Amino acid sequence: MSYRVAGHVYHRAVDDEVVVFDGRTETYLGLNTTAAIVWTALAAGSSVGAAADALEARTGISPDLARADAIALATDLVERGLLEPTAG
Amino acid sequence: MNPWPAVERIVDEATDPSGLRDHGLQLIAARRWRATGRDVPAAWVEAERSAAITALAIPPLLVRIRGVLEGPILVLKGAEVAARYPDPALRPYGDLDLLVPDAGEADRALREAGFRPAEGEAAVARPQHRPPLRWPRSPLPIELHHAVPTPSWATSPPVATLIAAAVPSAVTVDGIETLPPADHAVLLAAHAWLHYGPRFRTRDLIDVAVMAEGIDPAALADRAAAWGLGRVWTATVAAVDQLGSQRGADLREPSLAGEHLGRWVGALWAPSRGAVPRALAQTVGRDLRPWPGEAWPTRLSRLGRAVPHTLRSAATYRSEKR
Repeated sequence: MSYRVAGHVYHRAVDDEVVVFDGRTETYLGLNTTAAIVWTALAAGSSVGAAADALEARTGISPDLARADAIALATDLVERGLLEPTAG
Repeated sequence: MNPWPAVERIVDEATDPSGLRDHGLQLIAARRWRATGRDVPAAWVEAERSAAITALAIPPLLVRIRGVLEGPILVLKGAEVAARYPDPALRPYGDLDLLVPDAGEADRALREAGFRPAEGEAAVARPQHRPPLRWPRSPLPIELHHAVPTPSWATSPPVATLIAAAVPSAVTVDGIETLPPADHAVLLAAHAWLHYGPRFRTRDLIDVAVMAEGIDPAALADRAAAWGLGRVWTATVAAVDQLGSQRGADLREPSLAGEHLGRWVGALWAPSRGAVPRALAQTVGRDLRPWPGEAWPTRLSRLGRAVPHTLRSAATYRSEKR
């Protein structure tokens, strides 16, 4: 599954974190280092699997945990309306 | 000139975080120091977060304002200059400056649309703009200008003339404009001179260099002369040219007294020798008089609070007041 950043969402990297602005609700969300790794991958159009791989490579956690974390975060970001699933 | 090689060297050489902050370089320094393996002060990381939020807030805020106001809207200074930096989040700014044909009418329309007066000591009118407004959920106050911020002795073109010459803004929001780059470069030099006179902050020099990039120097000098700022422009260009020889270790924190003195000395750059006494009187008077709408007792109280801090860093004093 791949995603794209919703049209009303603006985001910027700050050091190894990411700040996300939801223009619809006018709220800001700060993503910590691990969440930022997943966000950066997904926002670039990578699949959840690729985001999990990036998370595993950068943090050294197990593949299973990385995949579970990436799926959980992607689900949460979709529910918040910040990411949208793409057809691919 | 391209200021960035000189700026990187200045930041690399610097060892004093407060000097870098006071020259407006903390965001550039944070990124550079991190990239070169140096420790980044926690306050700078926080400043980076704030700058990121500010940069994210600008486009939707401008879209909202565009939806409320009719007629031209020109972005001035901070946000417009930042959009011309390698990354807008490298240039700190604390408000959104807008030039509109009728600031009073724009103020009324924005209040009617839900904008509210900003709070704090800075939330008062100044000679060139109305009291700042803020969209309730936006981190950034907006200042509606009815005049461009220049030394009182400048002869800047009428606002209507400036607005008629507007070009699309680098912020790239539909329907949002800005001054032509040559006029904007002169405005940036004038605004810096208004606050600091010839005691240049490095960031102001970067701003001027970024805005003037690619413009014929003679055309810039002509525009500056049209604003009555030929001598100020010559001094500013010389300072920009000297960025290459500026040493990072030499970045000093200007004191509150030093800032005032710089402004007053700046009047000596009035267009002619005969104009200096009047320029000096206007500059000192502007510093001492109450702000528009401010009562004398309030002004005197503000002055009284500042006096014990005259030898302290002006930037530190201002940040503590916020």
